[in-house]
Amino acid sequence: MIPLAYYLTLGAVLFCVGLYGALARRNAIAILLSIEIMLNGANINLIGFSRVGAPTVLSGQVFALFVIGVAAAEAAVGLALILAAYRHVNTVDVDEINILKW
Amino acid sequence: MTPEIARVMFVVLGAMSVGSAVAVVAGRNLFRNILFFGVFLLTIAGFFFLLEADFVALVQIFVYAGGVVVMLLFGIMLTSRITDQTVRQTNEQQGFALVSAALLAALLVAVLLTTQFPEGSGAAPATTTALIGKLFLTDYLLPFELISVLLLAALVGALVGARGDEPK
Repeated sequence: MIPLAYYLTLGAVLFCVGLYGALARRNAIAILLSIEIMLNGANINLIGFSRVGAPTVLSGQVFALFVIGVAAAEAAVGLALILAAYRHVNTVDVDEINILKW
Repeated sequence: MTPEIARVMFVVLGAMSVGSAVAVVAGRNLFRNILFFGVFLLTIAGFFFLLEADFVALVQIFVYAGGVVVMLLFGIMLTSRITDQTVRQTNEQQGFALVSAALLAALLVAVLLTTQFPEGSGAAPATTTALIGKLFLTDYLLPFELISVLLLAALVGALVGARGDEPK
């Protein structure tokens, strides 16, 4: 049995990799990808706690399924917003999408 | 599965998932980023199998690797330009982002490796699907119904947002 702390460490490392991408990337779709990586890191934590903390109750797996569902909805709406912005300003570079600033 | 095999699988999957995640955030070619993202999602599904969460692992493969990756590929095909591979992919906050993400990772790992987590007793159920279905329709009925409304709203919202102007 692999200790729970290893799974949590892996989830934390993946979360931080995604955090770096979300902070540093310029392409809006790449930022969306980074956020999905962060959500997957959190899912590993949920499943790990479910398996080790309370193996007979599957609440952690239900939470992970909710996260997957919300993440899919987020990707769809996020892409639609990026496409709409692309039609207006002809770029997906978030440094250049600044028409709300003066 | 013997503990040795599980340990080897954990190390291999861990190296693959962290490596592909780094390739996603650090690569310059957006198309390859998304392909590495597919690899990343499959390794995460492997971890779910390792943790005996078979239903969640299959949902991960169906929804993420099957649906979200294809949708993201459509996204880059509709928005990217020829010049995109030559422009810089990171903004000027890159250094700060790297430092803060590394510091957060160090802090989290230091906390996680020194904390004693409670461990429950009992074996995992042989098939999780039936139990998850029961939980969805009993304890988690309200969130289950709410997420169906959320998915409908996301469906309509994505259509309206992506449709563009009416042809006159």
